[in-house]
Parts: sequence; structure tokens; C-alpha cells
Amino acid sequence: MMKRTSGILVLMMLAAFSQSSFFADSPVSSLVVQEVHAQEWKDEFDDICGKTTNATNLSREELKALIDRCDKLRVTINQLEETQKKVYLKRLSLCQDLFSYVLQSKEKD
Amino acid sequence: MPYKAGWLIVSLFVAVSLFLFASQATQAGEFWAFPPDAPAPEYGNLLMNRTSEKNGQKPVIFSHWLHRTKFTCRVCHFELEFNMKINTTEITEKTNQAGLHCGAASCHDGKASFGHQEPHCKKCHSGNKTDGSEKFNEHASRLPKSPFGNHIDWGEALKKGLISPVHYISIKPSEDIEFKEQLVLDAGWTNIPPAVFPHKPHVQWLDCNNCHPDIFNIKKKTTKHFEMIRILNGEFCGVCHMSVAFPMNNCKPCHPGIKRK
Repeated sequence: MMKRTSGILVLMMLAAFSQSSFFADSPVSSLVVQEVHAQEWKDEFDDICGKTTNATNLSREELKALIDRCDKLRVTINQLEETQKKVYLKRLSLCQDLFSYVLQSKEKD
Repeated sequence: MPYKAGWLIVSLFVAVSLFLFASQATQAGEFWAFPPDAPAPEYGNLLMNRTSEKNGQKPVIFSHWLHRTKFTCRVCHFELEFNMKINTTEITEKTNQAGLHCGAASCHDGKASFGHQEPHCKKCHSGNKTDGSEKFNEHASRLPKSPFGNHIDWGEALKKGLISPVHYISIKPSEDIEFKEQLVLDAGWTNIPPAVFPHKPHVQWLDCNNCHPDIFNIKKKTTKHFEMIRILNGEFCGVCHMSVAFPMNNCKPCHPGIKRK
């Protein structure tokens, strides 16, 4: 009985410990958070730029939405370290320029 | 007498016109200052030297022919952000080590292909544009022939499945689009047949954003600036067709109606 109670207590303490600010402020936690964020913006980037080959088939509204998403993503990319920032801003502008180009073409037609 | 002289003048005029008509294609081909043919194994080879020599390293040899057997242009010139113009992309050892540019996953990451550490450095930092010639000959022998450039018909090689370059490493294109439309552009020279631009063979290699709007902003600037002289100066089609894709002394693929090769 005693063993069981202390087992539960240890488990509860571990659970509380993992939820506490000890890890939240540690470098380990910040790395994990950064990685998650990195994955988020990268997924968004891949999703946006994966649509370039289909740009001519998209409606004006869809193109406008993609251009807006590019603007939002640019803010995140601007916060990356210098090398990544340079590389991904250039790639993002290639995608956004294409969407704008196709949108302009559609509005002209 | 005046009657005979008249016939003579007319006949002479017709003969000269026919001669001019027949030879105009050849003249057009000879008129333009096409760059001299590079040896087939070296066509498209680059020596990149933005910072190499400044940092005590030999320039980097890059073989387009070798890489295009494995990846389409889209992968490097869009996904990995290599500009089309040499020495304008800020490739450094740091970016390569960080998994960008040449060091990207699925490329020279030490797994898919040799990485950025000894003893591999000299494989790229050789400073020798003729590197890989023997390997080239081995590859070229089993691929369809073409009269210019690498002397390989890359489009045909792709079509026949003799090469299967990867089209993306992380940014998956949403879907394959059927581009059936062909752009037909009248030539500036009389009697030179129009240039025909098919989208299909281009999108097999490239992403739309490789060309639009930076190189071809047709809706805004129209097609009136597509002149041979500008293309030969590396603008428009000349961005690729002067250095990597079949060179422009190969008239026929673009002007299919022309007599000259």
C-alpha cells in the first residue's frame, strides 16, 4: 500500500515538474519551441510555394489569399537568423511575384 | 531590243530574289555572333568563384549535365535558391554546413551524396572546368544525341525515361498541369519562320516562377522585346539557352520551319 502511494506521489511530482516553469525557461524548452515554430513556418512556406505550378488555375480570390499569406510569412522569416532569412525571403518573393503576376494577368483579361 | 532587255532585268530580279530567299536562313544564322561551341563535356560547366579564391580555395566546378540527370532545374533554381546568374548567390561554407544550397538534405549532406568535409573538398574546389569529362562520355554514350551544346538531347532523354531527375525535394508542386498552348512569335527577319514556344517541355524542368515574372513579364511588357540581339546578350530565352539548355546556334528547335540545323 505504502509502495503504491509513493509510486503515485512520484508520478504526480514528475507530472507537476514537467509542467512547471523550470523547463519552460530552460534552453532545452526554448529549442523545442523554436523547432516547433520552425516547422510551422516551413510547412506554411512549402504549402504556399507548392501552389506556384497551379497558379494559373487559381481564382483571383485564391491568389489574393496566397499573396496575403506571403506577406504574413515574410514577417516570420524576417525574424530568422541572417542566412536563413536571406535564402527564404528570396524564395518567398519568387512565389509571391508569380502569384501577383498571374493575378494581374487575370485582372487585365 | 528593249523587249529583250526588259526580260533580262525581270529574270535577273527573280533569280536574285530566289537566291536571297533560299539563303536567308543561312544568312540569319551566320549574321548573329553566336558564341563558339564549347567541348560537349564542358558545355554548362561553371567555375564558381564568388569567395573561394579570396578564402584561399580553388574555385568550385559545377557540372550542369551531371546534376540535371538527378534533379530538374526547379530543385536548384527555386527550392535551393540558386540564382540563374553565376556568382550572384551567396553560397558559403556556412550555408552549406547549415543544410542550405549545396548542403541541402538529399544533396551534398553526407548521406545522399558526399558532404562538406575532408576528403571531399577537392571534388568541388578543383578549379578545373574540364573535371568529369570521362564520366560525361560514359553518360552521353547512352543518351539521345543532339548537334550542339552537350550533344545530348535532354528533352528526349527525359521523354524516353533514360533519365529520371527528381522534381522536388521539399516543396511539392500542387499538381501537374497540362500546358498545351504554344506561343508563336513572328521573326524579325523576312522569310525566317516564326519562333514557337511550347510550355510543356519547359515545365517538365522548371517552376513557373523561374520564368515569370522576372524573365518574362509578358502581360506587362508584351513580347515585342524578344529580339535575337537581346537573347544573345543573355536576356529572355538567353538566360538558359546560351549557357545550359541547347544553345542558340541550334536554330531548329525554336524556329521549326527553318531549313538550317
